[in-house]
Amino acid sequence: MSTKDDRIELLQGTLDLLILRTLQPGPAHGHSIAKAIERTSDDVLQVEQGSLYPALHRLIKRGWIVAEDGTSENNRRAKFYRLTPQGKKQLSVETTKWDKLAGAIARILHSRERTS
Amino acid sequence: MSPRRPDLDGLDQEIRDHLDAETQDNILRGMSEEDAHYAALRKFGNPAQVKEDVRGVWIPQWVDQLRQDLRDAARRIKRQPAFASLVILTLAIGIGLTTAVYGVVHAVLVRPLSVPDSERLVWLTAYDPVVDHEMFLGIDFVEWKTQAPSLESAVAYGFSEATFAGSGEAVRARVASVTDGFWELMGARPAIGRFPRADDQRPLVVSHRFFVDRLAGDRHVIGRPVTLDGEQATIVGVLPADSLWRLPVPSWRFGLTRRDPEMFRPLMLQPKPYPANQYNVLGIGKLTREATLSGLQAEVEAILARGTSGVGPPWDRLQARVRPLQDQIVGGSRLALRLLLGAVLVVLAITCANVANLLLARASARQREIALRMSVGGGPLRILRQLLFESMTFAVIGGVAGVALSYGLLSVVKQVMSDAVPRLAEATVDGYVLGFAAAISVATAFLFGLGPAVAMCRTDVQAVLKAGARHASASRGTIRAGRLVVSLQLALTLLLLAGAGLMLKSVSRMTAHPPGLHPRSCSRCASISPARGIANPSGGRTSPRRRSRAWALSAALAPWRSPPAATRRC
Repeated sequence: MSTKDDRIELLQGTLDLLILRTLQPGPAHGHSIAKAIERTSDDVLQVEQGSLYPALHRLIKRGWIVAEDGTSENNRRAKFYRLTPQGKKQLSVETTKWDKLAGAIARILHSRERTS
Repeated sequence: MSPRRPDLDGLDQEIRDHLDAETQDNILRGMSEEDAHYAALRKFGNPAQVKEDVRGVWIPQWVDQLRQDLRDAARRIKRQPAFASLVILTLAIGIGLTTAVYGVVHAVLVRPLSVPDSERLVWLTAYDPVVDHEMFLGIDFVEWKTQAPSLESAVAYGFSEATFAGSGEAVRARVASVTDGFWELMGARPAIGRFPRADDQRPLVVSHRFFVDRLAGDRHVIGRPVTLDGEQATIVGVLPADSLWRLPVPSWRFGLTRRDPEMFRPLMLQPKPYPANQYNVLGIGKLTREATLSGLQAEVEAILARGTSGVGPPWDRLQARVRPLQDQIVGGSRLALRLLLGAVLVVLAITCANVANLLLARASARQREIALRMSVGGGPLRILRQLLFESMTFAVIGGVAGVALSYGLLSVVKQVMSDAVPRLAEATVDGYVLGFAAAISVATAFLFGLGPAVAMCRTDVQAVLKAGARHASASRGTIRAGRLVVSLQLALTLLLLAGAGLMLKSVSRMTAHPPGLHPRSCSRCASISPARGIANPSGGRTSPRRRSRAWALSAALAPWRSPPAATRRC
């Protein structure tokens, strides 16, 4: 577990992309999505878990995911979120966009080192 | 296609499950149960805020908050009925007064005359600068009417009093004489009967009031012979009740014929040169669509200057005068009405200050509630809006009550002073007046609500919560706001008092300085006899009772120092 100072607050709008990516392998419920994001980022990304829910509902409203009733691993009824075909398409679009952005920013940051 | 909103009721359970799962994870990591629970909560954030945000995705937040604010405001009013009714009553009086006065102002000054094309109607007269009043000779009117190209049409009228005798006692009636085309120009329709035709012999049209008061509303008077100043005449029509034109009176008769005429008779003006038409008349003209007031003024000045009417000295000193008819009718009351409107607006401002004070007095009691709301995440703006919404609720209820009050006020005012202000009878609470009432209600809500709300929002959460229920004193902010309101109130009250004082002083000066005679020892007495002693149409003679009454009054006046207690009209 990383210390508090190592954590990074999420950029505006990136939470949506992370949720879409987390749901790519298959449906998941709210808590498991939060865990997955923390685990795969090695606990670097600091997500206020509560903010997950408004984000989920935003995605439902856009038609990128749907909510379904299901049973969780410890046999309790829970709401599961699943990507829609539209959401899958959106994920690839957003991923490409993100790569471009990150690449561009990285190039700018590192070019400075080279010139100096 | 818009996706279906998932069931939001399940959200509570979902969040609880989430927190449980997180707590379990934390326990597995070796935390105590309590620590695990709080760590999970910390990580999650404010559940209430999360729920609100989720709802906000689907329901525009303002709709939700509006509903909430409305519910809260209704609850608050229910919980403190005495306070709420005090506030609402205060507002109702303030708004009601202002609305009633605006109703009068709107009817008198804003709304056009209830005559077709009233904006094109002008008042025509000539003015004698030496004696300082109107002097409009019939022949001048005829010349203007026939020669001024800016006039589409024009009618002349004049006022007189005449003795009217029908089947009952003779009465003195205010009579207007009007030329051809008067009824068309005023767009009038008779309620009963018809308007005069060219072949009628001395036709009369009576006002609705005269018809009801003097003729007992008897429809059979139409066509029945009556006498006017002893001459046979016939009533051919009755005007509808709402035909009150307030024809402008000449300045020298002011006070005598200020009230609407009771009957109308035809006025014939021949296009013959002076001295054929020596009648002193007044005119109403209708401008053509292209014409302007100044254009007409120039035309009639030129006609007067030409002197073709044959009018010689001293009447060559007359000056043409043309004014918008509406200005002429309501002109005198304009300043007074504006002052009155200003005064009631000041009263309304004082009302707002009163209510603001009441709210501030409540503020200390509410500080704990507000501090609590802030501590659970209510932003100051949200709380400000909620407080303003409460004020708005008060204002709306007060406004509705105020409008009801203004209905009553208007009907009383109309009865008490219908003769004092022209067009007052037209005053009603119509759409414009309702709109005005709504506007001032909203404005008052801001006026009395904003100050206390801002003061309360500056509550020091920690201090208030620490102080606890035992001792919740007013914060510095509310005290300062309270002082401000009180000083504002004092200033406005002084303003009103000073204004009222000045007015009273004028009135007392008017009564203190004698007009050159002792009104107490004077009496105005008019004795009327129907038809100069000629038998009236119903076959009777001059009522002996009436004659004796007149004599009795003269006798009573004889001892100069002891006039009758009251001036009697006989």
